[in-house]
Amino acid sequence: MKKLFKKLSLKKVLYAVLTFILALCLIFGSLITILRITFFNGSFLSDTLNSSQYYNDLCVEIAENLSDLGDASGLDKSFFEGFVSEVLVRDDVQSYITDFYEGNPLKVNTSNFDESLQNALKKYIKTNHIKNVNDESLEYFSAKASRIYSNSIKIKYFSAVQDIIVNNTGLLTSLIVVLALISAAICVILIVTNAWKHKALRYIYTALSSAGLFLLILPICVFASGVIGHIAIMSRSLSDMYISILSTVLSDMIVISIVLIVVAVAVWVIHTRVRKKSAV
Amino acid sequence: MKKSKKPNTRALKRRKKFLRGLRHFLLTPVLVCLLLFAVIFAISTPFLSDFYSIGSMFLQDSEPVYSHTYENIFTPSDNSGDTVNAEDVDYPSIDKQFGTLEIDNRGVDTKLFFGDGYVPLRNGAGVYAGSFIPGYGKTILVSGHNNTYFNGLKNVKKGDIVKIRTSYGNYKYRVTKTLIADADDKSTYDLSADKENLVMYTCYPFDELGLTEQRFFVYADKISGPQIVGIYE
Repeated sequence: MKKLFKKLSLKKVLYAVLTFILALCLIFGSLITILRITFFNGSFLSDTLNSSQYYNDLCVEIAENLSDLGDASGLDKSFFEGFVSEVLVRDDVQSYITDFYEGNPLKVNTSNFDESLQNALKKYIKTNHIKNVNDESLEYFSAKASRIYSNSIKIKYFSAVQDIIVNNTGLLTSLIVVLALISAAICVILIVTNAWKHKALRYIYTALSSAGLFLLILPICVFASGVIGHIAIMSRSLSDMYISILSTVLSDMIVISIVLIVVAVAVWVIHTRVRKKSAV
Repeated sequence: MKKSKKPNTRALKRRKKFLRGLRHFLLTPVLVCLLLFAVIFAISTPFLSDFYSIGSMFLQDSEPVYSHTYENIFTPSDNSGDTVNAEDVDYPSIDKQFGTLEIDNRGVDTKLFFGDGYVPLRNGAGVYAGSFIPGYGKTILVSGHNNTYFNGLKNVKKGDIVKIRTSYGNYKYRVTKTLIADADDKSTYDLSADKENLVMYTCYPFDELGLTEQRFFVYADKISGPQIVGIYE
């Protein structure tokens, strides 16, 4: 009896460990999947920017910064009104994102902006009959305006993680597959080696529901703390963009956690039916 | 007695079964979840300080403010006496209007801000935050755009009076000289000076289109206004 008891206890411990490993695999698998479909996915960033007010806000910000430069350079307030085209900004940001995910050097091509600025300046000088023009001062102004535009197009902090994202996208996909296979293998082991199938289902239920709870609690805590709104970026467009991205990531976590919990409940229902059948 | 014992046992069994079911359905997942948190926390402990440092770099205590409006703490004062207590001075923070600056008949009459960033220079003249406010007995370095609020500096002559009004006192400075210098010439002002002096500067040449590489300086010495006392007490 004692031997049997010991055997049973060891088996139970083994099943508990397998359940725990299954829960860990589900958590890490879910987190890696979220990373893969968000930060490690070029179209995610483009879609987020398109669906938000990012381009509109960015145009307003660039215009304000250029207007300040205009103030310091003797240009009328009206000079930069409507100067920054949303189409141009959109194209330049999109090509920046493409370069980012293709691993190309992150440079903003300002040739279109520079050309429009030179044309606008020529027109302004001609229309206002300005004679006090120094080529060097004008060149300095144009270079600074171009730098303001180029810095605004760049997505701050992103350049720092370009190498990590470009070099590890494949690794992430492989990890997802490996974790999915491990999870499936553990489920099979639990079902095949367990004489009482309903007990195997209960272990799977525990792993699914605890992983679901884990993934639910984290984003709820982050949302409740309000920490997302405290991102230290002095640009409204960028701050809104990062808030939008982080909110999407956390919402994805909640969705996955709900899916896990729903699947867990379904497994529980099956478990009770199987147990009843076994009892009969 | 026997009859009443049977249903009780059955009810007890049902209750036990229900509690066991509840334990497996609710308690076990919650406990495993807590265990998962504990294990993941233990694994990540060596990296937590790094995460915390990176997080604190990107986060601030309050939500960032993107408003372009500024706060005005200036209320006219009639104190033109010799002293003002430090505790009576409402020290301005960056981008706040704390006074006005005026030069009679020279076309300079503007709001005075603390700091010389975008907000101050959009709306008036700004005191460089690394210098001092009036009454400190040190250098006050003020900048403004040459095409807007400081365009009138081109008319300033030696002997002109510059009036600065703040909530804690009214100050007068007499212009001693003007100077044209390169933008990066740091010898044009002395922030460690022991006497109160006002240095106003703007881009030069005036009314030129573009960003110029020279600056026009106007120097003035204090002639009246309350000294702030008890600063270091």
